[in-house]
Amino acid sequence: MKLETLKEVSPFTMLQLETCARCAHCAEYCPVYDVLKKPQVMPGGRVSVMLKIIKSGVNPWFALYRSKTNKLNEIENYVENVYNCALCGRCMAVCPFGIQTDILWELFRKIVYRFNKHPPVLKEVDKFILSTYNAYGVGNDARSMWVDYLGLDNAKINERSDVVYFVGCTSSFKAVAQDIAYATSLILNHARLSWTLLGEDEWCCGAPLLMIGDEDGARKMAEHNVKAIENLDAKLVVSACPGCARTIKQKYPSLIGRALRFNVMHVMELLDLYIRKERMPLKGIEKESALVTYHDPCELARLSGVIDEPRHVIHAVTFSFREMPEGKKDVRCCGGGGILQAVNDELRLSIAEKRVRQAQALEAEILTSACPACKITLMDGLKKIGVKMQVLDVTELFARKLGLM
Amino acid sequence: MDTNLKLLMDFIFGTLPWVTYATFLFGISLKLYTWFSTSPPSRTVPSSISRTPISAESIRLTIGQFIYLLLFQGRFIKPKAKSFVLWLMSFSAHISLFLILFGHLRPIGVWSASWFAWMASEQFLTRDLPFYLGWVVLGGFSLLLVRRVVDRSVRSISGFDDYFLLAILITIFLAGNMMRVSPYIHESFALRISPSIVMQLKETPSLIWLAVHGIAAQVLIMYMPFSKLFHIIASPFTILAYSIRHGRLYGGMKT
Repeated sequence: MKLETLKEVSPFTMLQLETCARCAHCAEYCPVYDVLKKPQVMPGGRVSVMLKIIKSGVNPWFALYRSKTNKLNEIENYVENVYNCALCGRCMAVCPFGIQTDILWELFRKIVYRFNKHPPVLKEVDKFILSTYNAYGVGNDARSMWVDYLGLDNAKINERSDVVYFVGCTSSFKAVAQDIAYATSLILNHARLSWTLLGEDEWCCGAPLLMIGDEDGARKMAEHNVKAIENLDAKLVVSACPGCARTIKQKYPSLIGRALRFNVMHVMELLDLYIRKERMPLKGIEKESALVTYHDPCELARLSGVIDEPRHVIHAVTFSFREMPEGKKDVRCCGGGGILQAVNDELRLSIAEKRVRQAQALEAEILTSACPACKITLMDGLKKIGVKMQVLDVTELFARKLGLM
Repeated sequence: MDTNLKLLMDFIFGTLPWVTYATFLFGISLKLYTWFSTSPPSRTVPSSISRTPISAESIRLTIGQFIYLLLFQGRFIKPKAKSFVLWLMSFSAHISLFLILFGHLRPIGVWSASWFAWMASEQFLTRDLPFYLGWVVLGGFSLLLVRRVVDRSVRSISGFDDYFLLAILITIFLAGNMMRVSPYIHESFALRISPSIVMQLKETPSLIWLAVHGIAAQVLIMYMPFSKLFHIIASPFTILAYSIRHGRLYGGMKT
């Protein structure tokens, strides 16, 4: 490793790394450590390794900071554990020192990527996202095929509109998540919004690339998507994928080097707003009588602060709702984040299993979420333990109860 | 006072402090140098979070988050007995530690017990309260050491630094408490600490325990910049940064 090139770590990052007191309180809450029980994957352990690597790479003449450089091979062995993380941010929420671990893990992956030490499977994923512009490696011209499959009439594609519906790769290409795209489209129609899809012009939001550590790749995606959206004079971008919404809203300005000329919302925020302002006709709907519970997506609740909105939407169309344990800001991750499916699918399923067992214990009949990746992971978790429970995105539940689908 | 003991005291409180200050400053300088050596060559564009204007809601949330973290409430997020015990140990030990440090400023003349006469008697504030707090801190840090040894997850990421620091802290507080429980002479005692700090004590404590207390405390100060104990200096900044970010995230960022 050419550690001397480690110059992008800011003083504030160093301050955060050196603030970790290795109290291991985060271990109690980390869904990955909960399954693997390896010290290298514990957030506190990962911080120690990261600090070691960075200190070894700067000020080579300071012997005090180079005491571990002869153990670089040992450090390299730790690197694979960087990707054994769901990037759920729970360690940040429980850290008594407020260390912003979500930023640290992203940086750590960036460093590993620069040294080309990321897992081979992620090298493949990185390559095909950059060539096909989507996270599934198929032709991007297939991005809007779900519109035809599902018979969505009069959907505008790449036309001037007030609102752009940014579908995201999972809802566009994964059959099990395409209903989310369909439901969202029907809801946007029901709200009488002037909206459009980007079609082939929608590229991956860049979140998977940031998770791999490829910031330049993510920048390329961001520049294209912003240009495509701004060309349509859209005022608002709506997405049902919390990862896409968060990346566009929180990360694009840094990636492209300027502020966005449009606003960004998750569809739950928009729905909540429309329900509160009585702009979403709800009269005469038949409310769901089955017991519903809701799993907060980490990207939406903890990392974007959208906690009450999905609950308001669910309450608008259900009679019986029960909160899951370890929810809201302290949500236990389902395992669907951090590109874990590609890196360690067994781990993802084990994490999912723990989460769906919590839903099972509630005797819920419908398990809802507001994220395509969560929906798929929760379904996989239920399949693993052989429990039959309906998993729906809140948009699907809402559209069904409104009689839209 | 015995000549050898006097020489020892002169060394501990006259000469050693200079080494302590120099080592501490060297450590901090080295740390800052290291940090700024890693600084990016050009300033990156701030994220949309840091661009978000500060609203009243953001300020309210920021203050709320700051208090929440300052009271170690992050530890208490899950209502589990294990979390509660850890919170109780850490919170009581840290609060008592800061009160004791504040108490050390009184004999120097920074504050007077009469300022707090409305709260409790001078006897309680200067003798009884520090006595109890000393045992709370000692108990808290001892339990943290036990936890580090017994709890598998904590032990797995613990190194020399973690055990050494707890051992030093325990030594400091054990010696401090022993100064209070050992027989002492009913004569006032002026402790001169370089450069010109004078602690005016009403009684002369056990000088052996005072020596142990003084050496251990200075070892801790010298070691602080090189160890994880740096969190004492750094955590107010990280807590504030977290609070500001989340105040904006949960407030101003939302449409």
